Amino acid sequence: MLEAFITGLLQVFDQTTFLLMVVGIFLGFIVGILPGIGSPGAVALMLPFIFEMDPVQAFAFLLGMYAVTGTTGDITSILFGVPGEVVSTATIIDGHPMAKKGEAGRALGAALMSSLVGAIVGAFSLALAIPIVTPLVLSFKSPEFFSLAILGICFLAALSGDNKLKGVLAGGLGLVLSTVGLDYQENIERYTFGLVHLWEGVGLIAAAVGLFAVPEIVELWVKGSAIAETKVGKLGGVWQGVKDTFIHIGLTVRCSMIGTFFGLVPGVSAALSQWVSYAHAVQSTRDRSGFGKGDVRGVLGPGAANNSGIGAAMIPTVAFGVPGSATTAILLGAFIIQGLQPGPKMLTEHLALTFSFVWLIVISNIITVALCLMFLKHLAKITQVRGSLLIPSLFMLIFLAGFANTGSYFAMATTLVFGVMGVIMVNHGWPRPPLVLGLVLGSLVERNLFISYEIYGLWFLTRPIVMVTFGVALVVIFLPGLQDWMAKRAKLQEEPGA
Amino acid sequence: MFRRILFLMAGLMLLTSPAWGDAVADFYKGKQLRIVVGYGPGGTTDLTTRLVAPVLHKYIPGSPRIVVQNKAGGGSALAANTVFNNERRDGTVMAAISSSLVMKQARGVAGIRFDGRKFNWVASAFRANSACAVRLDSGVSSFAEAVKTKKQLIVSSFDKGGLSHLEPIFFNAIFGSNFKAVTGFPSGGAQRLAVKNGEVNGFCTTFQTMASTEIAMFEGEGKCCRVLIIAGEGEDHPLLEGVPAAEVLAKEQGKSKDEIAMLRAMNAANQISIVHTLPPGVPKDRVEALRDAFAKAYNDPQVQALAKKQNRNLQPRRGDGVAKIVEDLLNTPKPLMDRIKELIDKG
Repeated sequence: MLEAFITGLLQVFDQTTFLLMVVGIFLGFIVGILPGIGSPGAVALMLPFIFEMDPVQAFAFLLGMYAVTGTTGDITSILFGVPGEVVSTATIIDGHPMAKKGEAGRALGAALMSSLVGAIVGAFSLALAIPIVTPLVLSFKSPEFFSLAILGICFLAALSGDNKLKGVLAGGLGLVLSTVGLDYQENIERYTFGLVHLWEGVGLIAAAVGLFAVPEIVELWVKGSAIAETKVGKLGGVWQGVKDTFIHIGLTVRCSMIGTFFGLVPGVSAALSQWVSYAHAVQSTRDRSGFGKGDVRGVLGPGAANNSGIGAAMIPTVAFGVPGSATTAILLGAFIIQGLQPGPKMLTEHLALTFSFVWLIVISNIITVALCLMFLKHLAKITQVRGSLLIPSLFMLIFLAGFANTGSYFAMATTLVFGVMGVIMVNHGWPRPPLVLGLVLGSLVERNLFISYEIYGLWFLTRPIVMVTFGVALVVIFLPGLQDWMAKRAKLQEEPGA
Repeated sequence: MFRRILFLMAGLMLLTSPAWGDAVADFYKGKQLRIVVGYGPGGTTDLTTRLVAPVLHKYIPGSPRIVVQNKAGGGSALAANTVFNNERRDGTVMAAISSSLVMKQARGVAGIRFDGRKFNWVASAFRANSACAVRLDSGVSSFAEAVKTKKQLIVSSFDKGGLSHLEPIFFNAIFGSNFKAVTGFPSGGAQRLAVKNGEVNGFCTTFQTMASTEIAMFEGEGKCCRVLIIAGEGEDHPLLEGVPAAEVLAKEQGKSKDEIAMLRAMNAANQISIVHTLPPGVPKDRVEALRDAFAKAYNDPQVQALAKKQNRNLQPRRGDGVAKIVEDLLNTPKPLMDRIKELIDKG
């Protein structure tokens, strides 16, 4: 195995392979920054170019591109509040307020360094998991997917900020909106109003971009100033963000592990892991008052989770031909183009190739972060440009995001509708993250509940992993309340005469 | 006199036929042909289109520029509806869609806003047969045993009325097997994972998928499944040794004409898998030119070599052949279609 591990590394440094990886990184950088195109679409569009390449070269090109999109997607999330990728949405919550406070550089530094740590943790977990991957992936069936989705819903409260009731209601609205489209079992149209465009439901990227980006642009317009309300100080520097990653290394590694786990489980959306990581960052912190207003820990959590999932999502793809994310589903197409057979042989005959994936992800991220760190200082200065100069380009970007996602003008209308909804929610103090989480989780809950009940009856609730996950869900619900109660009690005891 | 007229007609034909070719070449020269793929990038329909797109221009008179556009939605119904109703009808826009939409039209599914009889079908890429497979530990070793023991076999399916759902319920209705199709699995990967982890007993899909993408499930150290039954009249393949072909079995068992017609209807869409079509109203010479071009493109050495590398067995069919199958499917007698709908509703 060690030999295959080293051979995999050496294969990456073949001249042509390395060059193709760099081309992939360059393209991935652009795709990550432009909202809406997304890594799945970009990787798919590159598939025809790999017809003539050998397997390592082909995957160097594709994985180089894939590995950096999550990282660079965070850049627009932080600078403009426009998610570059679906998996970059949670970064907005604290990243963009940091930019407004004049700490854009710090937020970018933290996002990039935590992404790098995440990528390394995720990639090495792929290497370590190879011997145990089969029983691990096979132990997750529909009831387990259902219980994980329920666990995700329990994080709604953590994402709700100060007003839990509004948060839960917004999450409920997200769940309702997730039912739009053809139902999964009977193919019955639900809330489609006769529009074929809605058969496959509400487009997540179009909705997320509208919900988060439009209110930011409206605010920028009303304010008439630059994004950064204060000048970039020393604390707002890029290196401070890099240092923050290591100051909070425990949180970064834990969130990397969360991302790895969600990447590993096929069928659980990668978009979920960033929210769970964000919620974990909030819940594991005593003083939560800074979250949502520009706390660097709110950037580190999702930043780490995004990229750690990339290595992990390759596991079910390689071993079972079951993709762990939308992009790995397309990489599966690349396997077929290359005449490779995902399955046990990828862990035996083609093990060196499998390990070359691990190295490709790590090395691509190291190169990206190194390159980005050189330019971040200049990128951060965009936040000081007058809003009126930025608004036209931002509007073009967000509507391009809607269009690029499906190639349909309907997606642009979706962005607009969710944009209006986002403005109303912001003005009335309704939290937006629970709505997105509800939208992400709704189909997962519904689909797996139905399948579980059809196959196991109500007995699916008694399966060990389901019971353990529900136990964790109870802890997630009650722990913050318990912590608050204990903190209040401790304070009362400390205050004399209280 | 008669001879003179004949000569005159032959002369006229000779004169006019190159003029048709020139007319097509003149039309396409400097233009672009846009192929609207009904799915997102990376799926089989998209990959197949992008496989032929780079060579297609060589075979179309006038060598137009080929542009592939993805317009995902409604299992390619959005692209089909748009190309049928809203796009130019001059031969510069065509759709790449799922043939299962024709079955949806035949069943009267809402949202289908085209008439398959009026489309100018250009070509299909594959001729597949659907098949059902079960795990080795499912308790049945053959289809005959499954029918005899009536053992319930849970199979993972996508949606009601889709291929993975039609097969098990049709086999139940016609042969008396006891498949239970659980719908809701979101993708082929998820459908097969449920088989690999033992959540369900088996699955139904095209035999081509089993023999290419999922071959590891049927041979080698990871072997976990066997094919139980295949639709149509069977194929010559090592995995199908001793496996009954549904139509042959139905005839052997003296099933009614209606039942055999149902089996054919179930398998018809597979026979024209990944289909390209022009909207109605496109001039006939351009339709024929594109039919010829696709036939040649599928046989292009570059396309053949890449398809072989990808383990994909291209079996193209010309548009007129596609049109015949579509016509037959849409002409399924009403009582038969009502029975099919009833079976689907019962699930």
